[in-house]
Parts: sequence; C-alpha cells; structure tokens
Amino acid sequence: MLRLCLALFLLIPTPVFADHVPTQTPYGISIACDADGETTKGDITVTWQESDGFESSPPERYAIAFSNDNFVETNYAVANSTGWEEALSYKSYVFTASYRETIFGTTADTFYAKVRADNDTDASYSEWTSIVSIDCDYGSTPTTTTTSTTTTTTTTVPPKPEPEPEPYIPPPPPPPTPQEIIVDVKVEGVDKTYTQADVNDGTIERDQERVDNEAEFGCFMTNAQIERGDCVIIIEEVEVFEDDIIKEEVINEEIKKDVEVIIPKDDVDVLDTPQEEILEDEVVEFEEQPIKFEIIEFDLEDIAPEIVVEIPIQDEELEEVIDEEVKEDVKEVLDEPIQEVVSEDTPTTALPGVEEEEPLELIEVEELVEELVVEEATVEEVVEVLEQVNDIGVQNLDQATEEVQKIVQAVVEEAIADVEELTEEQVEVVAEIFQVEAEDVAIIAEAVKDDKVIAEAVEEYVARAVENTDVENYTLADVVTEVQFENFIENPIQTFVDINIQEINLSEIGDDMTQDQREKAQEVVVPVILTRIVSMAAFVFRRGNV
Amino acid sequence: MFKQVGNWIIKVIKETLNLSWTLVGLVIATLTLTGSAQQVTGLATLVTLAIWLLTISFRQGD
Repeated sequence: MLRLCLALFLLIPTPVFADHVPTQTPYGISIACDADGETTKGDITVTWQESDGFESSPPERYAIAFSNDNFVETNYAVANSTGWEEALSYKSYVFTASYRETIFGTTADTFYAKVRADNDTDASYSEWTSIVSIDCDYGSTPTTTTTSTTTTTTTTVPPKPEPEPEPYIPPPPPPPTPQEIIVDVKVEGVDKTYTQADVNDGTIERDQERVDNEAEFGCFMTNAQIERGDCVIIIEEVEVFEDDIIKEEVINEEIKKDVEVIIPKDDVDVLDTPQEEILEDEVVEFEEQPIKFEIIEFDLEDIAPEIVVEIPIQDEELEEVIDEEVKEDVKEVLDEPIQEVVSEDTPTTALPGVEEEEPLELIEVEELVEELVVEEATVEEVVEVLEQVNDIGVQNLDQATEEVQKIVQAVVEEAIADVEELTEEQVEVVAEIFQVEAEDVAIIAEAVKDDKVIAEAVEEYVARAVENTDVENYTLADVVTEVQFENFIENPIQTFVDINIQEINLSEIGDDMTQDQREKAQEVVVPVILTRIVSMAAFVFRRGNV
Repeated sequence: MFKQVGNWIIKVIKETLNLSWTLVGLVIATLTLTGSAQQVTGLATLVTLAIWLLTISFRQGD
C-alpha cells in the first residue's frame, strides 16, 4: 500500500506555486521617525524591500505616496530615482520635517505612506503596498537670526586684558533642503507632486503624455509606447463608394425597365412593388455598410436569373398573377439561357440553386484561381490567393471544385518552395494555411527537401484538409502522422529500419520538428510513458503482495 | 539444441506479447514524430527491444 501511494505521489505532478507577475509589489514596508538627530530630527524614513527579481518588468522607479489623513482627501506622491538593483535589498525615502511642513503646513498630523513599483517602459505598475503610518511631531529646525549692537563707553578703569577671541565655530550645515516641488498635477484623480529630478528626467512630460493618450486612445501610455505599437488603436476608415452607388442605381433602373417591359400593366403593382422594395433596401444597406458592397453587387448581377427561377415557388398569390400571358411575355423578352432555366425549372418545385449557393469568399477564391497561372505567378499573387483561402479556411474548400482545390494545393507548394522570398507578413499567411507558427514555415520548407514524408504531406495537405472538414484543429502535423501511418501499414519494417545514424545530431534532436508537431507528439508520448510507469507500479505492487 | 532455440523463441513471443501495450505506444510515438526525433525514437525502441529479448535468460535466471 505504501509503495502504491509512493507511485501515485510520484505520478502526480507537483504544481509550482510561483508568484510571477509583471511587476511585483515591494515587500515589507516600514516607517520610522528620527527623534534624536541634530539635523535630521523630525525626518520620517519610509523603507521597503525590493522584490526577488522574478518578474518580467522589474521596477524602474518606486512611487511613494503620502498623506496626512490616510489618503482620504490629501494624496501626494514622490518617486525615487533608482529602480530595482538587487534582490531583496532595502530601499528608503526620507521625508524631512521641513518638507512635511511645506506640504501639510504642520508636522503634527499622523504621516501615512505606501509604495508602488513602476516600470514605465512596459507600462507595468505593481499594487500599492499596505499603508504605514507614524506620529512624528518634531517640526523643522527654526532658522534663527542674531543681531548685535555695539555701544561705545568711556571709562577710567584701566583696561583689562583683552579676552582671547573665541574660536570660530562654523554654523551647522543646513538640513538637506527638500526637493523643490515644481508641479502639483492631478493624474488619474490623484494629486502628483513632482520634483526637480522629475522635471530633469522628463517624468512630468511622460506622465502628461500618458494622460493625454488615455483620453485620446484609451491607453495609459507615453507617446513612445504608442509609436512602438503597444496600444491597439482602432481607426475607423470611412470609405465612400460613390461611383459604385451610382452604378448600383443604374443597374436597378435597368432591371426595373426590364420588368416593366416584361410584365403587363395590370400586374405591375404586384410584381414591381416587392422588387423595388428589395432593391431599395439593398441600396440603403449598402450605404450604411460600404464594406459589404462587393457582396451586394455580386448578388445584383445574379438577380435577373434568380427572379425568373423563383417564380414557380412564390406564394399562391404570385402564382395566380403569373398567368399564361406573362409566361409568354417572359419567353419573348428574356434571352436564351434564362428561357431554358424557366422551362426546365417550372415543372418542378425543387430549386437546387438556393441550396448550392457558394460562400462569397469561396467565389472570390475561385475568381482569383481562374486568373492565376501557378507556374508564372508572382509571390504577391500566390500570397493573395492564400489570403483569400485563409479567409474561408482550407477545410472549407470542400465546396470548391476539385480543379480549384488542385490549384490552391499548387499555390501552397509554390509558397513553400519560395519561402525565402517571402516577407514576414507573407510567411504568416502561409503559416495560417498550415495552421502552424510563423517560425515553423521555414522548418517545413527545409524538411520538405530531405524528408519524403513531409514533402508528401505538404503535397496532399489541401486534399486531406478538405477530406477532414469536420475535424477541429486539423493541421499539417495531422497530415504528417497520417502519411507516416499509411507508410507504416504498407511497410512496417522499413519505417524502423530506414534510419541514417550519421545524420542524427543528439544536440539538435527535435529542432527539425515544427512546434505543432512537437505538441501533437507530446500528447502521445507523455501518456505512453505514464501508462508504462503505472503498469510497472502495479506489477511491483502485485509481486509485493504475493 | 533445436529444443533450446524453440523454447527461446516461445519465450521471446511471450515477452513481446507482454510488452504489447508499450510497443503500441512507442510505435504511435514514432509515427507522430518527424525528423531526427523520429529516427532516434525508432532506433531506441528497436535496440531496447532487442536487448530486452536477448536478456530473457539473464533476467529470469534466478
């Protein structure tokens, strides 16, 4: 039983309770009042301990907030000039009595303080420490001015020997003057007091930039951080497609004219009204959402045949309206292909056209592919096709024709072959096709040259992805595993015998695998090892009980 | 001599059957890996299996 418990204990991973935050809150804050020093009497020293250093954004400075009413109404803050230096070392900040008198007008109040660690570069700020307080009513050392008056007297008393002049005692050095307060600004509803050092190192400007940028972009960041792209700024681009709207209206009018010609006068009201409403609605919708215009434009191109096709399945009212005369008129006016559609579809109510409607993204892919000659395609054209494929998803190409799938496959292979010519953005597009990380694309491109299995997997990726439309998160790693399994079934021995020991470099094992492949392998290998350990433990347990 | 070889073959089959689930896992792992990692895993599996089977008598000697 003890052995079983031990085996289970070893099997259960012990979680590591690591306190890992971007910027840790300072440890162990304390506060002390100097009641003895000649020049430092009344000084309050706030001390805190630096973090253990296990943080991604170590403090660049420490903000010390102070108040004389526990931060109810007054809330001031200063910042020291040094950030994190040594793990668990102590830092302190001194508030002289005269400084407190300058701020609060008195030293009689209880002094409250708390500390926060700041990393401006990463815009990372820790929590405030707990509040510490102390009573330290010693006041500042008053500066005294002495005046002396000299009087001349005449006496007959013999002069006394002149006393030796007292040795000159230099005046004590003045207490360290508090850093000059330059500005008292409210930032985030908190009064912030800045010192000369803050002015010199640009802290005020950066804080002001943060406030401005928060108001403008919603990001409490400096201009440098904004320019660096740390803040995601959404800029609404309003594009006006006036030409397209005019074109749309022209198309509508043409269609209306056709309908008016086709339909007898008595029936104009019945058929015209719904059609006009639809068209107007579409135009309005287009104006509100100009981005969708291409989609609507495409639909409008197909309106004419669809109208004719839908006549048989309209409501009973519509069927009554379309009598024999109308059909004859339609046949006279419409061109040949549409007449064929009408004559074929009229007898039956089955309209496969609606069910087989392809997604518009897929149509865009097909249009691109039709114009593309893969062998002569430029990198930009290849990437454009891949971007369109990404929009719809590789696995959704099952609705495309086999020819389109083959061309997309060829485009994918072309992209892998030319991966060295691709920019970072283009590599990301290719990575999205394979559903791998961008860094993995180069690994795949390299592996294709040497590894037949991966080359075959890339060649068959699109086809297999289409076959596995229902499989979630189907990636190139899955295709590789499938191909290897098929090869194993065909020739089990060769899979294990086909080993080139000379090419194996123990220090680089796994470097030629994509991250995705590693994760998939991990999902298999780790359970295998755990299962083996459990079975061994069970075996030992059984033998122990015999 | 033939009887000894025959007995050894029977033992090899028995031991291999005992390792069935482990071997299934290792084969799947090998098929899931690619590149040098796959080759090392496959090679290690074969070598270990061979050592395991060749040392049956040594391990069961007592």
